[in-house]
Amino acid sequence: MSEALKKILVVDDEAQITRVLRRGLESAGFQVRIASDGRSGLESFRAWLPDLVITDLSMPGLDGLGLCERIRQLSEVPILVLSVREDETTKVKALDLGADDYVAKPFGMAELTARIRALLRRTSAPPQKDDPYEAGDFRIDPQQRIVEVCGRPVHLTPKEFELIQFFLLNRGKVLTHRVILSAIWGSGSAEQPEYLRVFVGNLRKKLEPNPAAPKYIKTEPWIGYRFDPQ
Amino acid sequence: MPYNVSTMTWNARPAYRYVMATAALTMLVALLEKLRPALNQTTNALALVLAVILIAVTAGRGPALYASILAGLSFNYFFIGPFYSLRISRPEDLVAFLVFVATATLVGQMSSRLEKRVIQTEVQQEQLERVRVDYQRASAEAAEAGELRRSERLKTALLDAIAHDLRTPLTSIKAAISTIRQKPVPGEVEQELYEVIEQEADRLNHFIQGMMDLAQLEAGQVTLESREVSAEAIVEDAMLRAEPLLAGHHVAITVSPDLAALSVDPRLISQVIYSLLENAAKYSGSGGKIEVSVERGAEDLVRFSVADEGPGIAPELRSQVFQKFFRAGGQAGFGVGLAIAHGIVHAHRGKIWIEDGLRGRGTSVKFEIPSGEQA
Repeated sequence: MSEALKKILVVDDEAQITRVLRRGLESAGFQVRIASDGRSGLESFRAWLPDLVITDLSMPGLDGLGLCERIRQLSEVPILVLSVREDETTKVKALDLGADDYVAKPFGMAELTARIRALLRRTSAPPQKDDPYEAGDFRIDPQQRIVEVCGRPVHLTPKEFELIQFFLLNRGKVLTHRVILSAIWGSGSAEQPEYLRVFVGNLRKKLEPNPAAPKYIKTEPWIGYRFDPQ
Repeated sequence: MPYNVSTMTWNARPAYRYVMATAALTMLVALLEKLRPALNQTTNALALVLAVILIAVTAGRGPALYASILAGLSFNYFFIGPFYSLRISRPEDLVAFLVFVATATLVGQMSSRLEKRVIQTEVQQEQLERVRVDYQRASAEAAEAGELRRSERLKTALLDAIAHDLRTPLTSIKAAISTIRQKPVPGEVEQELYEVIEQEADRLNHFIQGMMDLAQLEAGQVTLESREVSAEAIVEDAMLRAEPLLAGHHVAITVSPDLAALSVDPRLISQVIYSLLENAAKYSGSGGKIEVSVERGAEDLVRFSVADEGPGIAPELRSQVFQKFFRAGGQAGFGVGLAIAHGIVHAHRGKIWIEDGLRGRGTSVKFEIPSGEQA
């Protein structure tokens, strides 16, 4: 298994949850270390340099949001946040502060490990911006501005090409509306999620085998999108 | 205005007051006349002025003036010589008569005016008292409402704590059981029992979430985060979330093309549609048809509807299903889903109701909310 040696740091103040996570992630083939609060999480991060960090949001002392911010100052390591379902605002805040993804409590282990793998895949082969590269069903040539899905060339407008390139560079990661809009259209357009929705709808028609049930560009309700090249 | 003043005022017709004034003066004059040998003129005059004052304060200005004149004439007739005549022979008696009439009139009028003031003051006091009582009642009611809100907030805070304490072990249970189930489970019995544990953990979580949502709605703690959004986006989100529940059902979606963007809280409205889809899927059985539609209602309203072909809800029970934990007969309960939907629709100043479902059978839940164009 390619992730056999991947190191995951779990930061949560609930002992039973970390206990289960340790067992579950170890049996999925990861090395696991546990920290029970943000501060010791940050220390473990510096000392151990894990490949991925899973953190709870509400913790005594340095909380999950603070930890995301501090880790982002040090590294681009994927951060997965554990949150409660209804708290969209905090989720968006965590994502804007540098978290890559979130999983709502209570979560199933299959879902969690799938998210972890998606995030690790992205970082294991960081594409060079100008070289042609492949990711899942996609092949992209940035210089020729060519995109192929399962070997089929797709004609995209320049903005659509930019967006797909941005998605590919950030695959597996939850991208908030604000992040996507500012990256592609500039910071002045960050408050127009409805515009983005229509745009993504058109892009799906060109890329997806079934645009009504998208498998590549997935919607994260009221938060943003997640791109999965499969 | 019907004053209810507790004074000696005769609440009688004016004519009666004049009769009473006449009677009172007549009796007094008769008495004074009887005692004349023992009394001097000044005493008689003072007694008559006193009578005029009493009439003034009890019967008012008119009778007081009348009594002053009557007392003046009686004084002249009975107590100024020559007696039993209106003639006045001595100049000092004329002065005494004029002074008497002037005094009686003046004192009578002033007394009556004073009495009127007293009555007015009392009426004002009474009105003030009424206002004070009204104010006290209103502030007591406001305090009660505040108390209710506080207690609702307390309930929410308490539920919040309970929800956290329930959800934490639930997270461990769910993570643990799902870890076990990731690997091939040895026996069929274990496999089924593990599945039950995971499903029940999910159900418990769903229930806790519902209770939290409802408590927040009831405590008025849900603030609408309204923004411009299309009806399609709202339905799309609800469909996305309900997808696992809708497997095996045929869902048809119709969004009227003439709909402008809505200004609503998209997450909450989408949650209403999700709840309705959840119920439709639950009650209509596999292979059942579900229709979701959004159309323009009257004026600035937009109407959403989710219809199924399930067993339906009897007309007499239709308004009750929006109560929390409502159960119809031996049927499974609707839990809190419809109560939450009801709360969200009302928070948007809308209404929700039930009609017959597809082709006269099943259930069609409809709700209307202002599209928020004017907002």
